Amino acid sequence: MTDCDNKNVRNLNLYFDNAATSWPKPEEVYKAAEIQMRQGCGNPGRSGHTRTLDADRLIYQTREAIAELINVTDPSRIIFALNATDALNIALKGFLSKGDHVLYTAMDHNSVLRPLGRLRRDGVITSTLIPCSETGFPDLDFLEEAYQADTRLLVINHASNVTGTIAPLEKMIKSAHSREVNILVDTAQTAGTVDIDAVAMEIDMLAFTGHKGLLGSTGTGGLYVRKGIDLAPLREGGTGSQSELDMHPEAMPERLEAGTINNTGLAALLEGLNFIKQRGVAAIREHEIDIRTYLYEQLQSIPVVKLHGPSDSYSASCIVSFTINGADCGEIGYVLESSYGILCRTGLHCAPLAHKAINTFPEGTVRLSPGFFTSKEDIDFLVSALKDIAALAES
Amino acid sequence: MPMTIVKINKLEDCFDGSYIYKYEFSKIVDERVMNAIAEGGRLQYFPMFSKPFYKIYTREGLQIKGILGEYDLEVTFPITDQFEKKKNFEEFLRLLLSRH
Repeated sequence: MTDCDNKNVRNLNLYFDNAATSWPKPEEVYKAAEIQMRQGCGNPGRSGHTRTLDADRLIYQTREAIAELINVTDPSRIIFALNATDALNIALKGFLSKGDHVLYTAMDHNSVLRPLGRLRRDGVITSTLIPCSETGFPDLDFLEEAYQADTRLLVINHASNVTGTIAPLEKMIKSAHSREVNILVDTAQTAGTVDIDAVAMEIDMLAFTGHKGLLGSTGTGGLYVRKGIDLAPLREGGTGSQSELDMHPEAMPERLEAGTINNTGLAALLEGLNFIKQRGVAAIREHEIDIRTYLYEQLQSIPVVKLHGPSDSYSASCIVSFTINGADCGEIGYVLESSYGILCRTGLHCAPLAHKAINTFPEGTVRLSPGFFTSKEDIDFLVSALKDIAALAES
Repeated sequence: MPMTIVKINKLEDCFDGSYIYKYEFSKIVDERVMNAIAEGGRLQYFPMFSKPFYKIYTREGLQIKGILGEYDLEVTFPITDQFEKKKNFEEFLRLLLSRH
C-alpha cells in the first residue's frame, strides 16, 4: 500500500490523536506483525531451532535499529520494555536508592509522577518539583537553586504530552552534569520525530515507546542505559541463558529483561524504524513543524479558541492544546467525534501538574496531535468543524 | 414495536464524583423523542453541526447529550442522590419510549 492508499484508510476517521498512539502505520508495519504471528512464532533464546534463531535475529536487529536512531554504538545498552511507562519504572526504581534526592518538572507525565510518588511515600527518596511556565518551559533559574548534596537524578520530559513544549535538553543536561547528577529523559513524545543523539548529548538514560513516533505497535518500548550506569533489575526470571543459576544474569541487556519478549510487537517496530530511516528524522520533523504551524495559525483565526503551549512550532512536538471559554472539553471531543468523525483527546492527559502549570486544571484541554500522515486538508476540515462547534461557547 | 432501551453502559466516573452512562435504544432518537425527554428541562439544539447535536439539562440536574438520528445518548448523573435519580430517569425513559 502506498501513502495515498493510507490516506484513504485514514479518511474513515480523521485522526488527531497521534500523541496517544500513532495512526495509520506504514503498511510494512501491519504486514510485519501479521507475518511474525503466522510464520515467525519462535521464542527467542529458548531453543536452537530455526524459528527461535529468527526471533533472536529480529530482536537483535530491532535493538540495533533503536541504537542507530539515537546514535548509540553498543546495542546491548538498549533494553526492551512494555512501553515508556514500564521503561521509566525500570529506570527510576532500578537507579534510585534510599536517601536519594530527585529533580523533576511540572510537565512530567504520571509515568514519572506516580513511580516517584511511590518511592517518596515509601521513604526511599525526597524530590523537588521544577515549576514550568504557562507555555510549559521549565524554570531554569529555579533548577539551578534546587540541587542538593544528595541529588542523584534529574528527570526531563523531552516534550510535553499536553502542550508539546520541548524542554531545553542540552542546557538541563549541562546543568545536571556539572553537579554530577544523572539524567533520565522521557522521549515518549519525541522518539522518531525529533533528532536525538544520546551520546553527543551525554544522556545517561532514555526511555522510549514503540507505538507513537516510532510507528510500531502498542506493547513495545524500552530504555537506553549508558555504560557505567547499573540498574537493579525490576523483574527477574527466564532469559534463555544461564538457566542453571537461580540468579538473574548480570550482563546487559538480559539484566533488565525477563520473560519472553514481544517479538510480534518488535517485528512491527522494526518496520516502523525502517520507515523512519528511509524518510529521515529531519524530514519527518520538518513535516510536523509545517503541519503544527498551519494548525496553530488556523486555530488562531477562531476568536473563542484559547491556545496553550508554544506558538513557535520549532519549540514543540506536533501537539496543539486548546480550550474554548464556556465550553466543556469533553463535550467538544464528543461533538468532534460523534458529529464530525474527528478523533482527539480531551481532559488531563495523565499530566495533572502540566495542566496546573498552564492554568487548565482541573478542566483540562482539547489536545490535537496530527502526525506524519496528516495533511493540510485534514486540518482545514478540523478547523471548519471547530468553527461550527464554537457555537457551544455561545450557548 | 415500541422503542426500548437495549443496553446501559457505565462510561466513566468523573473527576467531580458524577457518573456518565450510555443508553442504547432499539430505534433512533428522533426530534420527537428528544423533545419529550427535554420536556420541563432546558434543551440546546445545534442542527447546524455536521450531525445535529443536542444537550438537555433536566430539572433533576441530569445532563443528557446525543446526536439526533443515532441509537444512543449519554447521561451525566450528579453526585447527590445519583442512584435514585438514575432509577427515576430510567423509569421515566421506559414510559416515554413505550409511546414511541
